[in-house]
Amino acid sequence: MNNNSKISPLSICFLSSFLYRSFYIIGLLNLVISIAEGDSIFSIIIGSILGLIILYSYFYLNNKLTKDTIFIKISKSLPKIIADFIIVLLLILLLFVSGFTLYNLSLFVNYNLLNNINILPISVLLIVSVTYLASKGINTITRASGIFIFTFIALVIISIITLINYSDPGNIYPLLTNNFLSIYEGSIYHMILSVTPIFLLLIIPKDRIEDNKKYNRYMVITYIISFVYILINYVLIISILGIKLTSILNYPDIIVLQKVSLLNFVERIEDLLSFKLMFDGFLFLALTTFYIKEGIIHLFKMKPNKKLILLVGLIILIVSIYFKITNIKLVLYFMTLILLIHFILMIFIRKKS
Amino acid sequence: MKYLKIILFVLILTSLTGCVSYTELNETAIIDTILIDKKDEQYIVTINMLTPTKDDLEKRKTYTATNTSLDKCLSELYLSTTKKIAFSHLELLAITPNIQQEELKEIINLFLNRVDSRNTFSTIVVTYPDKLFDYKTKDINELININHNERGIVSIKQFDSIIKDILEMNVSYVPRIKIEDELIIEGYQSIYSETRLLSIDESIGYNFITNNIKQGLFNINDIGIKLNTSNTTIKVNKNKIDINITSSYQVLNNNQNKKDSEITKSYNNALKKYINQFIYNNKPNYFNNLIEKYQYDYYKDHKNFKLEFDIHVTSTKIENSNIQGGNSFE
Repeated sequence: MNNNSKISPLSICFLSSFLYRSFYIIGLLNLVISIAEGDSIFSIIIGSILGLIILYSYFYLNNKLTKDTIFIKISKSLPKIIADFIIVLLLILLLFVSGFTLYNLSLFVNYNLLNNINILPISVLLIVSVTYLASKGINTITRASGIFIFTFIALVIISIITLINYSDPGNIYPLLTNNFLSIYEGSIYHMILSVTPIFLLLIIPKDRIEDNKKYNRYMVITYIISFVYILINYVLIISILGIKLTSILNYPDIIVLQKVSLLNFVERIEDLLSFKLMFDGFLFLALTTFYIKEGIIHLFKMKPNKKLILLVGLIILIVSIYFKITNIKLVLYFMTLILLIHFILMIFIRKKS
Repeated sequence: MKYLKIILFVLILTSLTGCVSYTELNETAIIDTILIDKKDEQYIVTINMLTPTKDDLEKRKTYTATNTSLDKCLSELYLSTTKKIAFSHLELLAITPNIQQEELKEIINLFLNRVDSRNTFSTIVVTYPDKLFDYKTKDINELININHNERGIVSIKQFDSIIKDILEMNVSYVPRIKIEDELIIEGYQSIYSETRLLSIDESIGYNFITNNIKQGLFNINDIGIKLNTSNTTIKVNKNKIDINITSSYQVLNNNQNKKDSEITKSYNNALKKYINQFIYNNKPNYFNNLIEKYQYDYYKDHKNFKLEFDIHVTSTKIENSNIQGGNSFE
């Protein structure tokens, strides 16, 4: 496949829909609930609305220097030393975020699918698959997301239809029990952790997107659908388990999926349905691996090298196993820094373009 | 690159999760029932282990362990079964009335921390549990289901909903079964912050309040009545709780030839009596939780409020030929 061939805007939209939920299962939901408790629903709604600012920032950066990747944009907009420093900082931050994602995705697999198994073999299997996907280039990553989205939709439909009977709207109450500060804090966290990964798509120059005039419109529609889904999923979980039970569970989604029963004889299918939760982290890791590889190539003016992606995968694995980051608040700081870097870039890129 | 691929392939093969710390199926103890009792500061844990046989019949064997903590009991059971205990196929957790608040906390922690536990198994309280394992787990669950569908006294209570109840209300109501020569459903037993057996009438009242009643058979003033449908709506306004029940019933026998209006009145009064018995004989945690949910501001400002109830029952008699009709009486 030609690595410079055009990419369908729909494929990128599919990929973005997974990116919005990158941290959802591995800590974001629990973080928001621990802060805003029963009012998390407002945090999610406000966070989604505020997230439009980040989406606009992405469009802004994407529409400047449309032939270039993010790294070239940074290099063209800033003095060389500062540009190199920012790229290095971006790559290091993403390395740690990837390490967190890989480790927590492995913990999720360990909890849900492979009990009593060491984390290392699970992480190795995941990173090998991720590296293989990333080595095939951005076209393959976006196409893979296209395949994943249909599987995801099928699994979501099965889950929602079967779980709706178990939901009790009364469990969503009481509402507005916390002060506005908690709701606001939850919404900011939700905004940063769910929308910031969209900046990873800046690795795709706008000119490589087919029919890019309608691209922004497609992205906004995908954004709305994705956050409506996140909201429905949240309401479904809370209406089944109640806020107090949800707040003490590691993976409330899985506990809810355990109740799925098709026609009263297809039961215990939560292992299959839980794959819908793994797609998000998996695609995020694939895109980050590709992003870091491209960053290193740009930084050291290297020629495209297939072995480099293996090295990146290995480094992510080492970071994941060595640091064992499970505190999502640390990732929140990293993602906030990534967000700030892009906001600063917006100021400088305006002058250059 | 070719060598790199081979090395990578071999690396993946050796790290395949199936090869690391695996457990053969015949080394796994598949548990379908667990009974937990406590006497003299000692937990008594009895498990029912299933062993699939070649002729497809389930071979059942029970093991008992006694120790000061549940973890130690499970370790003992591991030694006596020589198998790794798996809760993934657990279908029934039976506890005795000796299990109090502290023991329940330990039980909840045990199951919440076990990744192989699905927590959707049904839970019961048993008296005279010695013969529990004479019955199949499916039969016990089926008995509760039939009772729910036909008599309306108790219904299946899953373990995760018990945890939810305890977190929200500090109390949960679990079916209680007496095991003598046969299985006898005694009604609901409240567990955690209070421990008492609810009467049959209170249990039916609880089912009405929670809108968890499908059908019921009542003998009201020597008239046999079958509840066909029921729907309960509860409205909360400050400390006032309005309970509205709409139901339909059939008369099974009317030897005294009473008028329909009289039967409906007696029936409505009986339903009110069931609900009142539940309300006034049990702690008000269920209703306090409703006020916390729907009237949070009032709940927050008035910690020592007194509950006021208003119960309305509207019933419709259905003729035995299933044709809708009869009197409506409130």
